[in-house]
Amino acid sequence: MKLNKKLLIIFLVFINIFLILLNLSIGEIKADFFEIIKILFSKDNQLLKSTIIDIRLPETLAAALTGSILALSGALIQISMENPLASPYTLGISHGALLGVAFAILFFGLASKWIYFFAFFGAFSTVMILFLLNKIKKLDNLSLVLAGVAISSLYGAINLFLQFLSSDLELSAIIYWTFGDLTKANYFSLKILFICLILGLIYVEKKKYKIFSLELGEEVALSLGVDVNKLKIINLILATFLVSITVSFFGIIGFIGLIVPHLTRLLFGKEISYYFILNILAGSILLILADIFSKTLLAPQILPIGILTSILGAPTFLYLLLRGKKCL
Amino acid sequence: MLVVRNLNYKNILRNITFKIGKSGFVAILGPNGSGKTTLLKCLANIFRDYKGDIFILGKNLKKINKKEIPQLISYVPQKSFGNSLKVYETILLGRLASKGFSAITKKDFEVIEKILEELKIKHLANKETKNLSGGEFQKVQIARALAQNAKILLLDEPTNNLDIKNKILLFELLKKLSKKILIISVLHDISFSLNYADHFIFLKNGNIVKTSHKNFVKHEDIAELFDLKEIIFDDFYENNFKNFCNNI
Repeated sequence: MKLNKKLLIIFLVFINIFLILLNLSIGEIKADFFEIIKILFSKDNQLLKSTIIDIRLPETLAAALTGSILALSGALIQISMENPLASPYTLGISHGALLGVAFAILFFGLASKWIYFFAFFGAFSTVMILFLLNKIKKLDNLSLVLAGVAISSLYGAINLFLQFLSSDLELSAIIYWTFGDLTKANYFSLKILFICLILGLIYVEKKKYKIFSLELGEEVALSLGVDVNKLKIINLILATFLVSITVSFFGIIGFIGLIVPHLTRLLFGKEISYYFILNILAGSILLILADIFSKTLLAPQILPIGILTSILGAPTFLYLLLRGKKCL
Repeated sequence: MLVVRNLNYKNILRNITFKIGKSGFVAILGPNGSGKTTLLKCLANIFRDYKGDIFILGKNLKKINKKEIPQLISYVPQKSFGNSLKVYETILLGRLASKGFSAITKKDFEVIEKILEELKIKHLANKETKNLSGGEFQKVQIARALAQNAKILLLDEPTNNLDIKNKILLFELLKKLSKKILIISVLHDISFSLNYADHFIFLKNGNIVKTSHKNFVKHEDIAELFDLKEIIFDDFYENNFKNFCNNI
């Protein structure tokens, strides 16, 4: 049992490496899989090498890291809200972050560092509204998602209003942010994402038993000495922070946080020791795959990856909705 | 061991005061809405905004370090639902919820193994709890609580979903455990509780109307507790318990 899961993790790491290399070989300048490996370690063909290292590699790694981070936040949100339909996208957290980004662009300019802070504040405002609503009246799974939809459309409307106020340059930037797009990736954003992922992973590994005790129900968790409210709030703040970082770099990439935790559970089960790490690896695989499709489906056109994940994600969401309680 | 002093909770519990020793099987009896579950939840650290004091081993429950709580009290709720966690992991959480990183030791597995055998649910160990029947899940919850190795075991109508055989098995197990630890259980099945419990707390409208050792419980007291004119127990259970138990 144990050995299997460890082998599975190694296997998924290899799939990740394989997909990263495969993704590097796709683009205007063709190169097959083995050439890529050769080029990475040699000094010939400088043009292709610099294309790969400066453009394709950051984008691919961004897909891997963003997928991992979104999957981790999705898993954390689903457990903390005890809701299989919850995810950064369905609850409107991503839209909150996007609104923050639009605010920052409009008031502080395109290159402002405020984008990151505002993305977090925007995302966090959604979570706080949901949390307060839930305090006032205990929302069931569906109502919580409906509340998320309501907040998303409110924020969408404010976002449109901001676009109405903005100049052409700002407008195009804001719209660019609404489709998730990994081509903006650079080594600075990768470093930040990597650090965030590692910090997130350390947190969930340290708290995994506490986090999973929420699965036994709030009352049992309390009787086990877990400070349920504090734990939930910290989990949600962390997930919100992680999501807002990805939104502030690449815009909204929807549904990964919803699909991956379910896929992981269906394919590999929900084992405390491996659940989060498997989510991270699966999230990475799914988003690299999406990136590959976004580059090949309409080649040489590149589809924004956010559009693709939404096309994949929306049917999954409907499926989960139809399965109702059983998908818990 | 357990001292409850002037416990008040909203308008549900009023001036609850009692004291219980280190071990034994205590049954809380009372009509619906008398505050039985609320009392249990106060003792289980679930309701913390009560007035008054609860002392466990001389320590005030409100001031105890959170990490110590699972070693002092364990709680089995009345209603609960399964999920995607496997049975052995659910039980493992009883031991590990208060710990960080991978703290599983060989001893944890040994303890869980023993409990699985004792409750006769070893065959369920790798099942997801959402696929269990009500009775099976109830046993898993009890197993999780037992895995905590706590000094006090609190149960809210533990026999709710159990058939007669499993009911007897559970009561026999509780009886055995009550020699070492303190068990406090809300019970509706009066005949069973009269057969197994050592002490009784009668609760009505949020007040304790009587506490009593099993030898001093009168049928009139129980009738009065439930506003009945009289209550008659035939000796069906008493005679058949022994036979049942011998046959299991």
